[in-house]
Amino acid sequence: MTKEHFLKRLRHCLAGLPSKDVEDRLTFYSEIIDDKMEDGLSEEQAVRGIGSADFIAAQIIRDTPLKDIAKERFKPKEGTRVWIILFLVLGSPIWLSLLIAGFALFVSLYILLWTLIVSVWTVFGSLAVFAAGTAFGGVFFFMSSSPISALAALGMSAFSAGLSILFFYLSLAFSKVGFGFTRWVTYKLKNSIRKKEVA
Amino acid sequence: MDIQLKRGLLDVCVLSAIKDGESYGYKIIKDLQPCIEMSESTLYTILKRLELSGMLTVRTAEHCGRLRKYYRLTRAGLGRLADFKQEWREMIRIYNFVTQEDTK
Repeated sequence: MTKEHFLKRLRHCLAGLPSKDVEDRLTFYSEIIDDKMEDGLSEEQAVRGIGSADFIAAQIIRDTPLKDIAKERFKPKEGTRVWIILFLVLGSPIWLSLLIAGFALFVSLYILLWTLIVSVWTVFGSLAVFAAGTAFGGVFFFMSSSPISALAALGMSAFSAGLSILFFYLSLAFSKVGFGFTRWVTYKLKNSIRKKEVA
Repeated sequence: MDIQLKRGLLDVCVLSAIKDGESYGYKIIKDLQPCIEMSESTLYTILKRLELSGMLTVRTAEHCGRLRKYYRLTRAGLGRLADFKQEWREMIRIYNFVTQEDTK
């Protein structure tokens, strides 16, 4: 294999790596091959002594950090960057207002969820207090020799108590949903921030 | 051999190869051959790392109608070599102690 073929093959195998790093490496290998030839080796011997371009490239790729490869992969072309900025600036009345509206809608729905949760707890509390109150009322009526009123009050107390138990479990379920959703949103937010820091 | 230890030793070998004056890639590999076989890929990585850490400087000069890079040791590189020699004196003391224990 000639020096030109070797370098061409190596360049091909290193495609996708940071371009400056690739050029530096190719220059380095080119120099080594030239020095070997100056030392008396033939071009083929000099190239063979270095090894296979594919194997060398595999080692280089293995040793290159993933973030460097990703940066090179997702680097926008110079011209594209200008167009992206221009598009963002000119389109800002549209996308920015949509973003704000979307955020406001999300916050409204979040507040609505917690309002619902608080309401259900309030209903539970009211029913529990009513059940306790009517139970006392029943006892009072019983002691006042009003058995029918006492029966009615105790009946209402039992009914309210039953409903309050139902609303207790309902409130608990809604609260779990609320907290779970809050945890999920917080986790997503942290993750997105952490990715930016790492980058 | 521990990979971090090996990496440190290779760095010091390369620094030692250029301590007497500037040198270039192929010559460094040839000078190291009696001590250690080093591939061109390994040498490139070591030279880059040493350059980034300020242990050597690089200059490009013309040689027989082509360009060649020359590497020269810096003060920091000299300091690293001196530290290495000190570390190994301590290492030998520990080694002697450990092997003395084995022969008892």
